[in-house]
Amino acid sequence: MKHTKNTQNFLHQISFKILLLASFAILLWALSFFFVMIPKFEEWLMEKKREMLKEVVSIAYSEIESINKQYETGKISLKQAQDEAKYHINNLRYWPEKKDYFWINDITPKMIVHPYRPDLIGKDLSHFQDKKWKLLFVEFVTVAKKDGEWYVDYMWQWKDNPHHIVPKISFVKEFKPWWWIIGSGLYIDDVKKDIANTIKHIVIIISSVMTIVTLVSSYAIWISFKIEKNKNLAEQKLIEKEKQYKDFIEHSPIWIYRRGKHNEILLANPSFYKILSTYLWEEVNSLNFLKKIQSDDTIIQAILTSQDIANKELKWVRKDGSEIWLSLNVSVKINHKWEVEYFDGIIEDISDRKKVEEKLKELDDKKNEFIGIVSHELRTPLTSIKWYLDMILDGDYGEINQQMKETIDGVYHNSDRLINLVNDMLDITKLEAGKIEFVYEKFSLNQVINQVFETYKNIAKEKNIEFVLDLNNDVFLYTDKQKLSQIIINLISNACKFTLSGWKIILKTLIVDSHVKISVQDSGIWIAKSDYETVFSKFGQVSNLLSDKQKGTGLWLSIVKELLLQMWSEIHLVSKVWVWSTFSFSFPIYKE
Amino acid sequence: MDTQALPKVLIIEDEESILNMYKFKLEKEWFEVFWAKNGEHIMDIVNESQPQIILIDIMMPVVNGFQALEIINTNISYPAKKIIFSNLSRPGDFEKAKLLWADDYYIKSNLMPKELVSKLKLLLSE
Repeated sequence: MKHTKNTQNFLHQISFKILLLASFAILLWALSFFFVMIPKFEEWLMEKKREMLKEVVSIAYSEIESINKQYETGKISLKQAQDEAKYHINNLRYWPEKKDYFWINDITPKMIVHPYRPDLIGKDLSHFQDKKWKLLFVEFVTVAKKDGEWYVDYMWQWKDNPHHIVPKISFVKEFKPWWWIIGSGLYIDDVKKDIANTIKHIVIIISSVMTIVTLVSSYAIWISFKIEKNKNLAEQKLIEKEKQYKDFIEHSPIWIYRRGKHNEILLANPSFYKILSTYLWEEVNSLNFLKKIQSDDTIIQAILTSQDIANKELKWVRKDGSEIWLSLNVSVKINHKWEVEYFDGIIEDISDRKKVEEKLKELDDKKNEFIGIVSHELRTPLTSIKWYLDMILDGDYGEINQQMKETIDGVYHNSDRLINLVNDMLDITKLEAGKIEFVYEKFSLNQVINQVFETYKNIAKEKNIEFVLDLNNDVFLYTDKQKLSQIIINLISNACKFTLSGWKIILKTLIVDSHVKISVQDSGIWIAKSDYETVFSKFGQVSNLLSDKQKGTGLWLSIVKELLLQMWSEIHLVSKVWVWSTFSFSFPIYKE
Repeated sequence: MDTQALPKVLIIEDEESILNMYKFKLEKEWFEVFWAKNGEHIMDIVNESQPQIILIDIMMPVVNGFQALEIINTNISYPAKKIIFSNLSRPGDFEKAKLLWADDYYIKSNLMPKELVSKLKLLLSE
């Protein structure tokens, strides 16, 4: 904002100076126009008028001269010639208004011709004075006699009005053969009026032109100022934006750089000082850091082929010897010739994140170890309880009666459930830790399914559940037989748990192209779509009134999910409200 | 029955109550049962009792099951079946047992007393 204000002030100062200068120039021009040019012009015009006067008198003179020629050649008498000349000059007029005339007097001086003063004709004018007591006819004769022709200023009546006396200038010329003096005069006022009129027109034209020029130039100046102002504002904004970006980049905790194709750094923010624990730019260059971390062909290939961003995490030993983890993201700019132009990269210190990840991993390992030990500690006493009960039931300690048998049977099954729970917990822990070993072999699918069926048909029967087997042709699979068996058992166990007495479970195989789909359908509690994920989480059984009554570990399905994932398969669930739920998964059919 | 003809089983187990249970069942099934509380001085007992089968628990104080197995492996002078008999099945335990030449690995909770008896009888008949 401060910059903008300064710019505005500057602009105001400049415009004020220019205006002052322009006003001064106009004033100077006006002064010279009125005080130099106009008087000069007036002088020039006056001169023109005088010349014109001289010319018209010369014309009249030549008229008389031509008449005199007629007399000299004897065509007419002197009197005839002089009468014709008198008549002719008396009627001669000029100027647009035809008010200007000629007069003739002789050198006596006596008036010979005057169109407006017939009273003076024939009279002696040697004592005729104008208003200023000038003996003007004597002057005419004197001037004419002296130089042959010249101008005389005097006062005279306005045309035929003897009461209106005005200044006049006349030109007189002597016609020697007859001792006549021919003259004609201009009213000075007429001339002045004429000049004033002309000047008025000139002033109007010049003023109009000046006004237009002033307006146009003012508009041009205004527009250019406006443009200049906008340009300055835009520049200011650009500078501010650039500064913002610069600040943003410079203060970024991430190292941002642009690297040329020859490993030279074209642009970079100073974060590398912190990241590499160095103080000098030269050090960064000498470390050849970028070359080392980017020379990896895989990363270059990755960006070149995908035309996208490649990511890499790497360990770096800093100048001070400490180790850091760096995350590098690089993109590449390819030009139209399909050549690498430059690389843009960001490098981030991810040591803290790595530490947390390592810590988490350590904690996870500890958790798994803990669960393993706890499971063992739980299993040992539980096993011994189960053993004792089994031995009692077997009659190892002597005969027992029916009531005792039933009671101990109950205790036996409950301890069995506890052991299963502990086993499941152990399984899922190991699965999640990725520490279950898979033994791959070729086997018959139907054989495995039949074994499971044989074991579970009685359990289903006890619950009054119909267990239906619906198998396609037998196929061979190549996977872990035991784990597959466990998956099917877990799904059947789950189905048994949730299917009510009198309903049925269907264990089905279906060959679809190169895969076999194995599914377990129960008529159990419905599962809402939103609960699909919960079903597979640890202890994440769908909670409702009916299911709360059911007993189970809730780990069966999460074990199934984990096992299938590690066997490159996936569990699917489809449920129809209050009718059935189907869990299914597929394996590729083994072909020799 | 002549006690000399009975098959001999050595159980290395720190939990006395559990040992007593095995002892009761096995003796009932005509096995002669010996007992070691842990792997300490195990060779004295092995040499003295000369068992055909040695059941070894893992989690024991002083000298644990794997260590005991190692000692037996190095010092025994006759062929005996050595079986890890534990509820412990941490990741890597099976592999370790196999590397230490154990003949089998029984998970206690998975075996009922009568199943153990039949397994041992099968082993002796091999």
